[in-house]
Amino acid sequence: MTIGIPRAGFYYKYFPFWKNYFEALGFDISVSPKSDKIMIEKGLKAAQSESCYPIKMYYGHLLALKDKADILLIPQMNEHKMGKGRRGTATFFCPYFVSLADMIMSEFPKFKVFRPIMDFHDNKIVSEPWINFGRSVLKKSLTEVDHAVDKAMKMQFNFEKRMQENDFFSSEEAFDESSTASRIIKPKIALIGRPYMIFDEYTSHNLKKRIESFGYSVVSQENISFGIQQAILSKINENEKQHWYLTNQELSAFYYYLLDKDVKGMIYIIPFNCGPDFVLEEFTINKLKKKKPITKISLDENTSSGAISTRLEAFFDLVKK
Amino acid sequence: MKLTSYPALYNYVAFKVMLRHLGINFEKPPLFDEETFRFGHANSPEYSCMPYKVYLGLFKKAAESGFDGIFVYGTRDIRACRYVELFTGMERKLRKLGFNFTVHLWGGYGAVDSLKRLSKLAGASYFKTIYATMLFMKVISASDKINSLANKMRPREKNSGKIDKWLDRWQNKLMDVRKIREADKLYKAAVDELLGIEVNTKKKIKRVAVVGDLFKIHESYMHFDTIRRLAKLGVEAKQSQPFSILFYGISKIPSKKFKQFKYYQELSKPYLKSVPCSYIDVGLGEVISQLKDGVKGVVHFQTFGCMPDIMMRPILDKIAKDYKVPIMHFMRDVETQDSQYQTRLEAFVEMLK
Repeated sequence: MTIGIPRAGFYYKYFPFWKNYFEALGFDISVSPKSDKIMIEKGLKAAQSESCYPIKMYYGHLLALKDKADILLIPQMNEHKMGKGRRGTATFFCPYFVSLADMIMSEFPKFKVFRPIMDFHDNKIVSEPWINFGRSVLKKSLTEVDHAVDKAMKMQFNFEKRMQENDFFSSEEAFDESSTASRIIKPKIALIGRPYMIFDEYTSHNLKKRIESFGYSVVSQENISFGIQQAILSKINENEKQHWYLTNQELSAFYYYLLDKDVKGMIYIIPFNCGPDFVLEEFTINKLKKKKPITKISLDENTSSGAISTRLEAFFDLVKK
Repeated sequence: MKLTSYPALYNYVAFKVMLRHLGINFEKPPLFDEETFRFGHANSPEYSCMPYKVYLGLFKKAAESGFDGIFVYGTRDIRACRYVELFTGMERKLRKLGFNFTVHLWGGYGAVDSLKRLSKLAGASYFKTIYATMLFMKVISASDKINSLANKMRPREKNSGKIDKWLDRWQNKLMDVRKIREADKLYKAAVDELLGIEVNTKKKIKRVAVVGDLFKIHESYMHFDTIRRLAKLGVEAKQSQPFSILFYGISKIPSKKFKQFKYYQELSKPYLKSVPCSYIDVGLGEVISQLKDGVKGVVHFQTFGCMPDIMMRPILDKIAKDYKVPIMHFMRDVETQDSQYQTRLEAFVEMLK
């Protein structure tokens, strides 16, 4: 049986876990191709016009996968908890990614969908939902499921370590254990935004290469370890912290790269109609851009490459001053 | 300290009673108008949702009118949509503009934490705070019941406007409640008076379910006063997600309302397995319950940028298809005129069997 994983959404963060879990239990994996114009257009037609750009992209990838896989994987991204008991704090994933499977199953009742729960505690995936899923839905023995979860956890940990300790930009480069990162040259530009926006070459208009063409290397929030992110967040004013896990990651990255002398400027990518990101833009970016050049690029299906080039040229004029 | 709240669903009636008991000066919120709307739109980030824009304008008006802050019910968990950011964002914006304005979020921290917060805000003993909370619960229940009766009777009234006058009068009277027993007595007196209002019992009334995310479905300004508009077209609609049901449900207070809350959640489960943001599971459950009870259509009121509504839309389509009833989705953005909505609503009502 083949499990279809859309190359969209949290694929860019948790693919190693999903891949190793299902492969260890004897399933084949099929990942949708890289984004292209036709695929995104299909997504635009299928999704609601008011939804955010990443959800439209997700629909495009799902449609590209539907005939290549027996079952589609749409995990339910729940909460990211820190600390113990009621005093522990939690941040959350965007509501779309919590209830995405419900939306998809209402719109495409014929799709077969696996929807295991992704919960996190102290930055580790909570294993219990995956053990229950393996036992009750996949009908595997406890030993098999335990082994699969252990392997998946280990590979996810290795991937995150490789991302943070080496000089990979895109998480896709780091998925392959045998790949090596090119040495990051100085000076650097921080490209901060949702992983599913900045790592998708088509959607991001290949911003990484464009930035490199100006003589800078590129880093993102994914290159900062979770411990450092938490240390930064602990020093930030309570009111500035966000309800959202990814937005908090972005927030800590802005403060981290603000103090990094090798980082000469920061580019913030906001997908069209992204609910969580708007507050960060209003209250953090506008404050920090007085201290270091920051530009915001809003991306949607109509953004032209020409417009991005103009923005980048203006941004680098500011950086070089 | 002089506080207010948003006008949503007469929430302020119960807040007033509770906070007065605790010695806090609380007054009715100001009214929405074109200027509040324009200010909110002009001063909000590009991708902020409609409720952010609408409330920012209203709270700026409140700050200008001498209020020191707002008191609203809060939530901080997975259901919070961007609720917390909404209010902290508004507070920071208003402070930037030079207003010393504070947002007091109550609830959403669990019963004990909420009690502590309220007690600290008022500088009152826990005993007094518990009594004030009980007053709040009684009054919010009575307020919702009065509102619900008005919604039922409005399409049937013989003289237009009588029901709304009755509703306003009794909501105002509820604001004077000082003891727990008074709320029930007032409700009974309100019902007695309602029985004296002339209604057309022979009029054929159609029924529809009206649904949407909390912010707009609780705020008649936000949803172009859908329930009253429908009443004028001879259609009865219930108030979706009444605040008392949500309060008892969220707080897990053993009661009929808590059971109802759980019942709605159960009804929504075939369509919604995740714990969603906002209370769209309760909203969907209410729709299913009303469809089982024979309503002839569903009106889904959305506003631009609202994530819960976007999530709700395909699920509602599936429900409407399963129950074979027409559904109307209406998306309001800053440019939408109420005349556009009226036209859509009239066309929809004509479709009802």
